[in-house]
Amino acid sequence: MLYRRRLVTRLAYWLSALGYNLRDRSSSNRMYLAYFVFFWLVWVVAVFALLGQTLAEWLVRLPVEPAPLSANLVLLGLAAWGLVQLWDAARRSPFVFTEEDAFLICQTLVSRRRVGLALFFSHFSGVFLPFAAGAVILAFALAEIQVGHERAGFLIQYVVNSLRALSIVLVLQAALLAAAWGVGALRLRGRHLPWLRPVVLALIGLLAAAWAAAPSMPGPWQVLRAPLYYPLQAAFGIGGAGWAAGLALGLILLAAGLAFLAAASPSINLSQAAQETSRRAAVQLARRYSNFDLAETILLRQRLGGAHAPSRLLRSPGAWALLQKDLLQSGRSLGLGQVLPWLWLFGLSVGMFLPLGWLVRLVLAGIWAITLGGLASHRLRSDLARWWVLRSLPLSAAGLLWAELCQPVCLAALLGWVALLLTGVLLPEGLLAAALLPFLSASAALSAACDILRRSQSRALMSPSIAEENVPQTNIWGAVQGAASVLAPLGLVTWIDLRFGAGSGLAWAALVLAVGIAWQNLRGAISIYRSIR
Amino acid sequence: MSPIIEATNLSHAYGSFQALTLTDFSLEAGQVAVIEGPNGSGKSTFLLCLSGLLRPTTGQIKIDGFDIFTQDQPAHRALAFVPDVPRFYIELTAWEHLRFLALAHGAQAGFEARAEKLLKAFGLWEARDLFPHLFSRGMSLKLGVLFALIRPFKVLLLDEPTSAMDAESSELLRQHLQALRQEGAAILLSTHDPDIKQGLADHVYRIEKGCLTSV
Repeated sequence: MLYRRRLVTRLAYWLSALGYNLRDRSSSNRMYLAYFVFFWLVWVVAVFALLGQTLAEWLVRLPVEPAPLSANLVLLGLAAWGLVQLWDAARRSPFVFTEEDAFLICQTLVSRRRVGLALFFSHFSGVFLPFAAGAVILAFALAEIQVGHERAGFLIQYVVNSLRALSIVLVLQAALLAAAWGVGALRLRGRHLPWLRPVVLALIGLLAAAWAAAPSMPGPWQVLRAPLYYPLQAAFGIGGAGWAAGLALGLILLAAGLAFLAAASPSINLSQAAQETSRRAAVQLARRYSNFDLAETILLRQRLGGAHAPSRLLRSPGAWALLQKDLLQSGRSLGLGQVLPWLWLFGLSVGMFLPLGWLVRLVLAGIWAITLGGLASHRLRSDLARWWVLRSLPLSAAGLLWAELCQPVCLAALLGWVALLLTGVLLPEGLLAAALLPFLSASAALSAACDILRRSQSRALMSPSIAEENVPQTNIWGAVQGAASVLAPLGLVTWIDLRFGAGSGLAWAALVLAVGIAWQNLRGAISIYRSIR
Repeated sequence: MSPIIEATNLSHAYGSFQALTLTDFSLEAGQVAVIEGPNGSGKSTFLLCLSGLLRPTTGQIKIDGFDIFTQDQPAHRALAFVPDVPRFYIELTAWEHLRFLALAHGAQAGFEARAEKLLKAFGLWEARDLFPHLFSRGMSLKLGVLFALIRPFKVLLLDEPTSAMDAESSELLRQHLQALRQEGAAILLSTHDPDIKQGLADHVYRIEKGCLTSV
């Protein structure tokens, strides 16, 4: 019952995000439900048909038959996903329990089998969508190829193809997941199973080797892939494989997987599972409701561990201490999630200096400004979440903003200069771009800061529950201000180049404009910071 | 003697809810004032306004003669505030928090000895290299108090500093506050601790429904 309620709550959340209130039982809301279902059904079919059409255009250009290729793609996807699930289940409990579950479920005499199966179905309801979407798009693409220019009855073909693919692909996915969770349940039976991980690793190795050797020795690969490939052939209507037979084989696999899970789960150690997964549950919950800041905070705490030797970075007084503190924080929280957005910014910088036409370059510059705004405000938001510390520092507003934004602005300018060198922009345009970059970076960062500070309220910042996730993020006004602050000088350069020819000395007027805008943004940010209510 | 904290016509409203009605308040150097009152009466709002963390709806606040909002730098140099639920940086250890605060306030001279003495006195020396998210609520409150004590100040505001401390730590804090008063600091704290009120307070104020009255 608990897991059913959770599923309903999750469904209600996503339906409300799409515009439907599940708990409203009024007749007008029921009428609205019909419209809601029709609208989203049409929307989904239209979007998937568009994607399917595009995919069909690619598939027909390839030198292989589209249907077997689709089946092989899904086979590879399912096999890789299943192996990842298997490896995960052999290392850590697949049964994820929140802290509340640890008290309410794990220490009671509730049936382990029922808990295991309930958790399995609950988890599956959250992971089937990518495969469902993939299967439908492939089915639509194959329908598009089959129907060709004959538009009559194309909708029926779309529906038949997608239902046939969906019914089998989802059954196979559930079967693989059940088998992996069965292995996870075996591990949680309280006895140490030293052979489990090597066996799982050997299985993964065997499958990978068979797949790699398939072109020269097709026999072993065909034998290994048969249980999944035969139903998939039926799913995509290949050869004589009938849908009913394919589905029947899929259902047999699913029944076997569920039976294995049901047999292994009655004696699982729920306390061990709760210990292994309480943090993972918190991260999953935060991500499920799009609270990525909270998820990042939980993961960061885990990564940092318990203790650290004192850093030597903190050594200068005044505003420098704030900058050094920010550097220390950035260094300790550095991970792939922090590096990738900066790589994206670097890619945008390269795009801005490539000869792609002035309109494309200006669009890229706008995206660059908005991206930089989000990245530059990270430390400011972290400090606003500790308002009682930040506000008590005897620093001027200008000094404080300098310390908070110096690091990302310098990094953005540096990446821009590297991009300039890579793209080989010639003098004097290169010199002007190099001179503009620090001011454009500062303008974008200050615009985001203005937006965040404008929407920050001291009573919210001092709330006991406050943390980064509750500090405002850059929204549309910050994005518009940032893009405008960057595009005005760049637009002026572009106009002068078009009007007077590239390399005109008049283009240096853009530098004056960029400095003026940066200065104005700084003054605005100082004023807003000083008047936070 | 001129007051070191001076608030005139102070009031604060959260939307239509009047959390603090028009109030005048002052405190001289070397004095300790205690505010008491039921939960939700406006104690924290009063302290937040005095500390400059919350902008009052009306009124003016001066710390050591400086307006807390228009002359914020010298005012914040003279003022230290400890909230009831201090939040710390995830990436910094307890020692680094203290070092950062001392540096930002320009109090780096003699930091090591001062920090060691304070951490040992409050029983946090062994935990100095830990990240504060591992701290209990009592330890977090102690670290919050050390944030104030690690650098010089003339006015100390504390919001229920002993609410999660054990009896030994409360007594230690009381002794520290006594020593600070003798050094000339003005201290204003909200507390339900009768020992601190009876043993330390020169003035006791009561807040009820946002009205501050002298007891």
